[in-house]
Amino acid sequence: MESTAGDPERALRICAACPGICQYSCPVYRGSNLRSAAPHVLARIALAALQGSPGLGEALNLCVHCGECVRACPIHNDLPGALMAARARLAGEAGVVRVEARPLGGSGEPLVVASPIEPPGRAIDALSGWRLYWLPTREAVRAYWWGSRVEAQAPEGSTIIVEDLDFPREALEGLGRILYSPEALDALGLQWRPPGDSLIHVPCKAPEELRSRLRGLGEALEACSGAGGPLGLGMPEYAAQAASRLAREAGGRLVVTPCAWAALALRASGARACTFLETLWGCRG
Amino acid sequence: MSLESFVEEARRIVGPRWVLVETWSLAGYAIDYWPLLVYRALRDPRGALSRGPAAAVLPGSEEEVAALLEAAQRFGVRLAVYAGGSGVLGGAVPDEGWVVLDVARLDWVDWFDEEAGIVDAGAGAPLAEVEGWLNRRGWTLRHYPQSLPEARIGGLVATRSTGQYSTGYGGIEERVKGLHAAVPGVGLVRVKPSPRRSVLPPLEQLFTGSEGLLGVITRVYLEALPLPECELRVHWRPGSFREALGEARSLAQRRLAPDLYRIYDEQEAPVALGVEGPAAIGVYEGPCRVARARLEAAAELISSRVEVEEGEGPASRWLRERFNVIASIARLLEIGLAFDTIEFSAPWGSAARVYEAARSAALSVEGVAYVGVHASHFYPSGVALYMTFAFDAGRLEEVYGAVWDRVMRAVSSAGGSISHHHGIGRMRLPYLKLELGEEGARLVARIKRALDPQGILRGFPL
Ligand SMILES: Cc1cc2nc3c(=O)[nH]c(=O)nc-3n(C[C@H](O)[C@H](O)[C@H](O)COP(=O)(O)OP(=O)(O)OC[C@H]3O[C@@H](n4cnc5c(N)ncnc54)[C@H](O)[C@@H]3O)c2cc1C
Repeated sequence: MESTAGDPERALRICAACPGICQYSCPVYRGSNLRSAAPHVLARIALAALQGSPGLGEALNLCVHCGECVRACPIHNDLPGALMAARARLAGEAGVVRVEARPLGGSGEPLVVASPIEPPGRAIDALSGWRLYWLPTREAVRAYWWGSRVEAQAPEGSTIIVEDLDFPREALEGLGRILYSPEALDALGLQWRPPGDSLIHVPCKAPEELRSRLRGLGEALEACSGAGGPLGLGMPEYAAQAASRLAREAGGRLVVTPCAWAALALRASGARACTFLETLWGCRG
Repeated sequence: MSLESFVEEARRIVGPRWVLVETWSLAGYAIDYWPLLVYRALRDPRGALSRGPAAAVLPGSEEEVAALLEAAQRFGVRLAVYAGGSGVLGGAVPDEGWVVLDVARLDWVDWFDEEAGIVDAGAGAPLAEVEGWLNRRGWTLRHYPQSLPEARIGGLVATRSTGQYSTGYGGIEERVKGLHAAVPGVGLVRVKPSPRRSVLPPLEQLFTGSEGLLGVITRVYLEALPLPECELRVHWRPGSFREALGEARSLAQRRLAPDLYRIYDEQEAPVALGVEGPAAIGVYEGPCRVARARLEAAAELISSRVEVEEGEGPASRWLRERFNVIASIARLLEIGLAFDTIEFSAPWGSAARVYEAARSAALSVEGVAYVGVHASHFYPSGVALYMTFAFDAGRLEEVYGAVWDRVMRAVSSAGGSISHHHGIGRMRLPYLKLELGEEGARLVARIKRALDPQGILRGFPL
């Protein structure tokens, strides 16, 4: 069969016709038990929403774009791609969202933390020798998943630490040196050791280089939290429900993650979780 | 308002988060995998999904299920029990104004008795996860319906399902050794696991096949087996489908049928196996010496030449692709064809007649483009036949019902049973009397009334 890439409506129809072979691989469905989150059900809902059914569009927040369904699908039908296109169509005219790094304090070269979580005052001490900025990603991420383009601004020559794996990387290109937080710990010369009894989260959206780096840092917890994409912001209570499975797997141990959305959702589901950077300023979940 | 009071009470019972009322959270329950509804949804997604339930509740414990039934009785609310939603006859689908009781959160799996191989699974546990859990411990249920990736334990038991290895291991009813079910006005019935008992008709079997009509299955005790040591794959080419049925009878009656055994007719063999038909494939399992001895005895018994597959072959290819239904669904969809399957069974004496009658009945409907049949389960006394028909998707409403109606009547008058393992759901309700007779149908209605006097669960309009 011809690939469905580039033909979102066809991808949705094929998925909608399926009994749901991939459904239990979806971390959101499996974690939240929301029937609408099951990929084939979501495809049916997306088709109805595109036809103008009222009250259904919100369900499109339920995909976190982890790609598990594509991997589990025997024909690798690209449902997340199709949902991205469907959201853009539902949102209407594509907008541009601009986000700017906000200075937090300190002095030295500019160091930008791109995350939905604002670094607290303590972060300035923990990262002394830098002028610290926060690039708030929250609203931009939501707009991005609903079809907008994101433009980011940061001081020239910045070192940018990304703790939001959903933030479009292309928006940061050209702004400076871009590092994921585990890489940044080395690059900034910080002697980081995983806190005792912690697990290192290897999220599904981590690129391969980051994955191998994470695996080398300690006992790995390789699973999608089910919290990213448009879900974390659009439906935080369901993101927490989705993350509850990962929380159970962690069994009360501290989860250190390079993904702030995972940390937020895990904490909301009652688990102990911190991002790598948060551990620098004393977070223990 | 009774519905509002029920929703309020349900929030108290299961917690507010587990009572869904928003349109976006309910739309998915408007269909299961009844092809009639699936193809309607593809043609008119907006219309099809607007028929969702009034609310959905997801209980987190057996006690909550019992309390919800009690509340439904009190407030006169009707419930549709929903598990994996892979049922192919509309059984899980609510009517307008109904509330869905989704068992998804009852998803535990653990040993009840490891020595006995009895596993304790929640009604919402996905079969694939239960089987995976057992496999990691060296055990198996050997229950492999093609819907293994989709179905949940409660749905499988409630439809009295069979799997690809059921010739060797029996249907799910042989795995069920006990269960719990919440029954309106009775409470939570706890049937403890037992290898066999003789204490009136076994209550666990009252719910095995009850399709959400008599109560809500909450927990099932299933008998697992150690993973087989060896697997031998075979195929052969019988002279005709009729001849293949004759071979199958000899094998089944002497207990020499492969554990997984399928015979395809001329129409279906090229599609399912990629070979000219008719054709048979099989898998013998168990301790290596025993599997081989059974295979050798079987090969001596039948006149076709049995080929053992060392590498690639029709059986291996089929095993690899056996859950990949989406490839063919998509292919047909793209050329404007819809399809459905109808399974039925027949004693050996009428098997060939039932096969011919069902085929001709389906082909007699204008708009039917393809009919293929395979035999999928074999018993000493008879066989299960499984028919696939494809038709012009644009003529869904005229063709679909006509095929079903003619096939149901043809099967019954040729001496077959109207269903082997999919159950009755909504599609087969009108044909119950064909199978059970007037008195049988009246008895079933009486049992229904006794267990669910207010009719809060799905009923039959007899
Ligand atoms: C691709 C495909 C292949 C299939 N292959 C097979 C096969 O090989 N063998 C086979 O037997 N079937 C097969 N089926 C049919 C279907 O998978 C089975 O009927 C299965 O048992 C349904 O399980 P479910 O969890 O999806 O149940 P659902 O569809 O959710 O429900 C089925 C029925 O059971 C009732 N029910 C569900 N849970 C409970 C409960 N806890 N208590 C009481 N009633 C309940 C519902 O009300 C409904 O009437 C196939 C279906 C598909 C789509």
